[in-house]
Amino acid sequence: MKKGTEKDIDCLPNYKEPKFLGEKEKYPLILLPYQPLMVLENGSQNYPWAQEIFLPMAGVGWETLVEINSETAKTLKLRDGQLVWVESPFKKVKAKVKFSEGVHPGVVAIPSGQGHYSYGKWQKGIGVNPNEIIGVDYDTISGQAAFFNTRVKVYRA
Amino acid sequence: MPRWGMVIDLDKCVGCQACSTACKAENNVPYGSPDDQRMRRDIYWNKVIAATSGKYPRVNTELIPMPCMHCDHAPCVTVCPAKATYRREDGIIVQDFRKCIGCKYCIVACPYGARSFNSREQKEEEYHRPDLPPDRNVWGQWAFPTRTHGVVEKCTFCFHRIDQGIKEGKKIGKEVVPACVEDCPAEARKFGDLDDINSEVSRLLSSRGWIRLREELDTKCKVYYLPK
Repeated sequence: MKKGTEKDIDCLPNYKEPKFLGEKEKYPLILLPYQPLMVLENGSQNYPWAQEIFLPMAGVGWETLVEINSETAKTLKLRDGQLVWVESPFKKVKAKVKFSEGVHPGVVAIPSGQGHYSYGKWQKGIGVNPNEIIGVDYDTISGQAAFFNTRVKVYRA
Repeated sequence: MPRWGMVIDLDKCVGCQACSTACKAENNVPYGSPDDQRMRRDIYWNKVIAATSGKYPRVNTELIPMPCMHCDHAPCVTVCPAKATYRREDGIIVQDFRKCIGCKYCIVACPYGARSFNSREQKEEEYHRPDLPPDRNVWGQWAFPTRTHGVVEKCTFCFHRIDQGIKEGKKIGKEVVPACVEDCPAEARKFGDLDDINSEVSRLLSSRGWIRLREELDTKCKVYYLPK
């Protein structure tokens, strides 16, 4: 064994602080672009029967909803169903807000799968794509693409 | 005479909405549009609804598939002025499109929101249905209905499948089931005869506690839910 390497190996599980893109003071919330059940591959929203049941938890389709905890929304003075801007250090998107109790108070969850510029009659121009506002970064430990480390702020449109 | 009923295991349902889509494919239910959905005009014969309760760390969401409950004491049958909706001998509530005058009284009367109003003409399109014979005249009473606008529609428990199965001497509930039951990937839905004590639905109902929605209205509906 090479001298000194035994110090670098973590034999026990340990904690490392995650790194986020954006300052915490300016962008208080963390963006979580998640994949809903009806999204299988690129283009699966081009079936109108699948498009109209896109978000079964909210009971709607044909759009993207910004899901936010009602406690957080109260501090941001938002109303349910209002149009909001979600702004990251890189870009911002506009969508309808939906209060959801299943979301962590520090997180904004936006479903991916909508927001196509083309690629079919039924999905073109519907909703927004949360991957547009996330930054390009890599996970510091595994080196994989990091999708969930962008900080955002939400305000009324 | 059998009494057809359905048992839905909410423990197994994951809300994948395969039943909604299978129903639309089987019965040729038209798709909506963003405007239709905004005006609550889109047609569902079977919709999965989510009911959330609790605050953030302790949240529970129930996913409830909502077909027509086919009540034994159906409010929609009572209120229909044109006798367009009626109860068949085997307990299925059906809607006669030719008699329906489109007054929507039954939509108001239905406590489960299972009925939809068809407010626009459906386009004549060829659907790919390899399971049906190519000649339209032998399709029988229901399969792939073409419909006019201005009538109220609802789930029929796929009675065309049941009637066809009885004619062919097949076992209803095992070999022949409605489209939503057939397509459920988790096998959360079971269909069968509620009066037959040997059927699978009777066995499930005797094995666990069950609930029916809006029991207090005394509609005696035939869709049973096995709660979590």
